[in-house]
Amino acid sequence: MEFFIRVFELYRARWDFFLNLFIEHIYLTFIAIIIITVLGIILGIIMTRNKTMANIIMTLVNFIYTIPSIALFGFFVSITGIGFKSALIALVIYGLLPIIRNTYVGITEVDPFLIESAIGMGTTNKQLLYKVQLPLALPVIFAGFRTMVIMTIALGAIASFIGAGGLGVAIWRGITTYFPEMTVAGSLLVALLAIFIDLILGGIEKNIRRKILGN
Amino acid sequence: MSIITFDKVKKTYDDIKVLEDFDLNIDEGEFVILLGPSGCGKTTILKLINGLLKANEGQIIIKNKLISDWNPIELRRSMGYVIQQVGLFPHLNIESNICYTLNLVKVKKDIQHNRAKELIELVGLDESYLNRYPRELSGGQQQRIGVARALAASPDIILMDEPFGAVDEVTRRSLQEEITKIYKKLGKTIIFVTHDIEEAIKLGSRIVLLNEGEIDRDKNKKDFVLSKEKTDYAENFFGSKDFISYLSSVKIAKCLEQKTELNETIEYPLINEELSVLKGIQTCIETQSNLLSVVDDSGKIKGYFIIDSIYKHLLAL
Repeated sequence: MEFFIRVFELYRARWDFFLNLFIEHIYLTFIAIIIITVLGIILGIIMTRNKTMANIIMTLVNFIYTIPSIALFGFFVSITGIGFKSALIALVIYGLLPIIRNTYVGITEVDPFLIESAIGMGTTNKQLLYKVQLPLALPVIFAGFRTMVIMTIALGAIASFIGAGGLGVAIWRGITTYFPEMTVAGSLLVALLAIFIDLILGGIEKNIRRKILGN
Repeated sequence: MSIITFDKVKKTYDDIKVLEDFDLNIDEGEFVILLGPSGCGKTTILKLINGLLKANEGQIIIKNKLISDWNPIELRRSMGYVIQQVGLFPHLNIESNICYTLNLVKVKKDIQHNRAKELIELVGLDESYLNRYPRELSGGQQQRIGVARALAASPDIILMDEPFGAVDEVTRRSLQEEITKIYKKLGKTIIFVTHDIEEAIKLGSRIVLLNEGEIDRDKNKKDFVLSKEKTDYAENFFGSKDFISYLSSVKIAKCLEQKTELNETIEYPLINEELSVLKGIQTCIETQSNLLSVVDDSGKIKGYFIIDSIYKHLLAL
C-alpha cells in the first residue's frame, strides 16, 4: 500500500513529465492505428478479390506475427534508424494481422445468397463493396480493430526502447535505475489508457452489432 | 412480341453438360413456368437470362439485343430478381430494402419513400413495416418484401427462382394469390422456376417442363394439362397431379349450365361460384347429386354445375 502511495506522490511531483510521455504515447499509437486501419482494410479487401493475393498476404502477415516484437523493433532500427519512424513502422506491421484477417473473414463470410441477389439486381462491384459487403462485415472488422487498438497501445510501450518516446520511457528508466515506483507509474498509465479505450470501443461495438445483426 | 430468345444455347459446368442446343422463345407478358426436378437446368436458364452465367455457345437475345451487347449492370437493373433465400439485407430496414435498386441509381429519397409505400401495399403488408428490419419479419413477410423489391424499379421482366420454396403451405398459397394478382394488374413478363407441380399449374400462363436440359413439354396451361400425348417422362413426373391442380385452379363460374327445363321445386345442393371445379366434383360425390345450384356471394342462383358436362366446359376454355 505504501508503495502505491509513493507511486501517486511520484505522479504529483512529476506530473508534467508523465503528461508529456502520455501525450507522446497517444500520438505515436494513434498515428499507427490510423495507418493500420486504412492499410489493413484495403489489404483485406484486395484479398477478397484475388485468391492468390490472399494466400501471399496472409502467409506474410502470419510470418511477421511469429517474430518477437522487440526483435522487429530492433530490425527496423538497422534500416530506418532510431526514433519515431522505426517505431511507427514496426507498430504498423505488427498490428496489421487482426485487421487484415477480420476484414477478409468478415467480407468472405457474408451470406453468398445476399451477394448473388445483390449482383442479380444490378449492383456494381464498387456498390457491392460499399452497400453490402463492408456494412455487413463491419461487426467483424470492428472486433479486429478493437483487438488491434489495445495491442498497439500496449506495444507502444516498447517503442521507447528504440528512442520513440512514450510511456515506455518511464518503464525503462524505472528498470535501469532500480526505481520500481517509476516502472509501475508508467505501466499503470499504459494499462489505464488501454482499459479506458477498450471500454469505449466495447460500447461502440455493441451498438454496431445491434444495428447490423440485431443482437 | 418476343422479349427473350434462346437460340441453340449450350451451357456446361466444367465438363458437365447442362444445356445443349437449347431453344426457347418467351413473348412479352407471358407468365412462363420452368418446371422440373432439381438438376434439370431451370435455374441455369434463369441465370443465363440475367447474365449471372454466360453461355458457352449459342445466342441469347433480350429485348431485341444480344446479351453480349448489353451492359450486364443495365441488363440486370431492367429485371426483377427474386430468389428462394429471399436475400434481404439485414443491415437495411424494409424501406431501404424495397428501394435498394432505386438507391443504386440514386433516385430521390422522397420518390423512393412513396414507391416503398405503394409497393408494400401492393404485396399486402402494412405501411408500418417500412421502419422494421428483415429479422423482425416472418419468412412469408420477408418474401413479400422480396417481391416488392423486385418490382421497385418497374422492370418489365421478373425472374423468380423458387421464390416460395421455403415458406409453409398456407403462406405459400397466399403468396401465390398475391403474385397472380400482381401479374394480372401489372402485366409483366414473369419467368418462374419451380419444382412444385401444383404451383406451376396454379400460376403459369405457359408451362415448360424440362428434362435434363431439354424441353419435354411446352404448352399453354390448358393444353399442357389436357392434351393427351405425353412422354413417359411427363407421365411419370405428373401422375394425375397436374390434372388435379388444374381442376382446383378453374372456378366453377367457368362451368355454368343454364337449364330451363329443370324442376324448380327440387332443391339442389348449393355451391359458391368462386370455388374450384375440383371442389364442385367433391361436393357432388359427398351429396350424391350430379347437379349443384351455383350461387354468388349474396346467395343468388347464377346457374347449375352438372357433372356430366364438365369436360365440355374445360375443353372450351
